[in-house]
Amino acid sequence: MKKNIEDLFSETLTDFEQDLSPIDDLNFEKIIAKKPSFWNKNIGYILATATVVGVMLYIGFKPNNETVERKNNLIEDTNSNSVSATQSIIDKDVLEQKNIENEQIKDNSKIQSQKEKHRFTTNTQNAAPTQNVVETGLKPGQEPITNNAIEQMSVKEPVVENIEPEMEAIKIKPLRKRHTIVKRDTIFNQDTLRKILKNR
Amino acid sequence: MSTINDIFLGCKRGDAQSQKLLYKQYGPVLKGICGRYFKDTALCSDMLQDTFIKIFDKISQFNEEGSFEGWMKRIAVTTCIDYIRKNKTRFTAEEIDANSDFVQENEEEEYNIVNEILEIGFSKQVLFDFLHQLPDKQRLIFNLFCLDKLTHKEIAEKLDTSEAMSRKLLCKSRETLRVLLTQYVQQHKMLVKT
Repeated sequence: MKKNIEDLFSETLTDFEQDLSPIDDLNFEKIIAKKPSFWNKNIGYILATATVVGVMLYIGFKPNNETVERKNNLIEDTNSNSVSATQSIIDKDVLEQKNIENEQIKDNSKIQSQKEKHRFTTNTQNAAPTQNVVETGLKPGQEPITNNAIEQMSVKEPVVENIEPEMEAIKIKPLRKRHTIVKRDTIFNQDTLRKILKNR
Repeated sequence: MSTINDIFLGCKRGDAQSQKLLYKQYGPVLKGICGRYFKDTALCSDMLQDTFIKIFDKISQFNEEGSFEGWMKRIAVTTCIDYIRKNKTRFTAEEIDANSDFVQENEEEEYNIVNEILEIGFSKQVLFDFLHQLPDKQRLIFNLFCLDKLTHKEIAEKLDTSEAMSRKLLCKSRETLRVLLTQYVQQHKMLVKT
């Protein structure tokens, strides 16, 4: 059988052995010494597991944080609600207080006005006898005021219309009284009447 | 005496004694493979060390269907090729041109020389020395194609080159070896005459 160079070399050198040198033995000792430890061998698995655990913990804790936040929000809401409730209660109290104060002011003003009216009526009632005095003491040349003139003057009373409606009932009485008083008295001094009207 | 199966199982368990036995038994063969690729003995020792590191590291991946020895030899060859690739052995266009003037191989003449060599006798070391007289890239291709039985396609893929380049370098290496063997035969004839 003919053999070429390829055959010659492949048959001869395929299992060619080279003697191991002391350097090779040393290198082998290094290999044994460098034998991968448990840590080196499983570093990949350890890191992967740690990563997975980390991610799971992160994912696992995230909703809890959210719930905590939600709880906090709820607490804040309830606090704010209670605050608003108390605020509303306070507001109500203040309003009631104000209403009471307003009513008191109104009552006071009513009382005041009543007092004033009372003073006015008493003054007018007291003034009646003086009018009678004035009535008799007409100066010479002074014209006596007729009933017509009084009626005209009483018609000219716009002040009565400007008085507040609730006060009207109170104010009508003395006017009527005065009116009756005036009616009863036929003759008045003009200056006195003007004064009376002015005081009103 | 431990069999290869016992050694293999011991190495799989990480037993240092089994590893030492494996090294003593297969170290020389594996060093021979590394020696075919590299002239430098220190580099050859480094390749052997890397080979054993890989063997011990990946012994659990061996499927036990094929030959354990063959598996270890493949690891040694792969380790050498990886080193060559890492050192960026490139087959440039200039090299193709430089190798393009190789003499067309004469098959008949080659057969005659091989026959003469076989007749006069030779040692493995002589052929090993002839192999190391080849230029690096020719030796690499010759090793891969003739001794490690890779195809030109596989060589082209592993060395990131073309199949044509692999074929040309193989022809060139065979031509160089033929010249070397012829010289060896002539020297032997001269010695016999004297």
